[in-house]
Amino acid sequence: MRFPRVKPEHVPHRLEDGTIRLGGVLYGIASEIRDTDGLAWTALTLMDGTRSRQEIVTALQSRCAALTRDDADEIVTTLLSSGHVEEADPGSCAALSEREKERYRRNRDYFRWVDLTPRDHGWESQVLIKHARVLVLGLGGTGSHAAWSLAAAGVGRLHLVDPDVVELSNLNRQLLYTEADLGRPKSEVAAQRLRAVNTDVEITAAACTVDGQERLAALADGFDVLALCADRPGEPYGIRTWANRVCAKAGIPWVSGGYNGPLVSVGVFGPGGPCFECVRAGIPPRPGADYAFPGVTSASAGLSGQLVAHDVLALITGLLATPPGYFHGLTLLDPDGHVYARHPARPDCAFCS
Amino acid sequence: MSDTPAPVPRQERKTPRKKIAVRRLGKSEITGWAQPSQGTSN
Repeated sequence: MRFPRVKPEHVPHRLEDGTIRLGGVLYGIASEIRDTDGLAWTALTLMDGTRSRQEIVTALQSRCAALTRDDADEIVTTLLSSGHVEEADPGSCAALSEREKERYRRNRDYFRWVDLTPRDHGWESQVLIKHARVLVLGLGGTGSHAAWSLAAAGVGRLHLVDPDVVELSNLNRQLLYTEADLGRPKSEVAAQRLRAVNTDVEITAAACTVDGQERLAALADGFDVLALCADRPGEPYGIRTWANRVCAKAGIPWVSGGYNGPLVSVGVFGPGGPCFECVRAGIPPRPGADYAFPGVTSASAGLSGQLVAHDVLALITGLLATPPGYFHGLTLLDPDGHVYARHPARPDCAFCS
Repeated sequence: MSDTPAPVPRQERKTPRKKIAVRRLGKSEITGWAQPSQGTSN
């Protein structure tokens, strides 16, 4: 880092006892430094983007005669690796055009905020997104929102798959379609809409049915992430089980999202964590859990799709909060209705990596 | 950001500095929200 500065979103403040808090009030980002001698605060003050690392060390040492150069260097090193400091003069990022930088500036600001790995220029996450290839399976309530979100975020390559045509009853929640599209294949309409949303994304589409693992494996070949937004055929041994086995074999991470009325949930699976079938096996049987009803609003469908998109982007950028292998979501009827499940891999599982 | 510490003469220093540590805050320290338990379902 040539000219370090504290990230704007991480501006530090001091508590009465001198303790420093950085990173705002967001769990997973905010941190604390006990700073009895005030030197960490001084170092952070010096990190305003106008000084080189060595100039910061020198200035810090000059303000406290008792401080050795090694001690000053250690303080600066610790702060630079904390995730709260960024390069103030990043220069250019050749992988993105000026137009792309303007378009994705808010993405960059977001990833700068949440990414605690020190970076060279702050565009690293967007470059990863640009180079990512994502297969979106299912373009209904969940998939239409997920596909839009991924295209808007700048995912470089999207392949959209759905066998259905647009029906009037889809329009209460599936945001890519209009009344003028009734009867047209969803995949064709979705590709057309998303090309208009973002001409930088390479978008292809297929109106085909996934009828087994072999078909799914052929579709997933060459993609970095699968966004599974289809729920037919249902479990057990339905499309999620197929996805689990195909993706485990191919080493492809995948995200599966959906809704059951007001309950919105997403599963995140991939190398490094227990597989879908192991996590599912750990969930106690719940009488009635197999019943599925069609009731849904655009809110719950949209949330499920946006959660899928969020987790796909987290997988692509390496910013997943915890290793894959869990379900999470929320119940819209309950403001405290966060749902979460994670269970260890079964010792005899043939699919966990 | 101000209130920098007053300089301390080098000869007064008797023990090595304690290294600073950046400690990530837990959820309850910031928001009071419950953390999803590991290895269970709800």
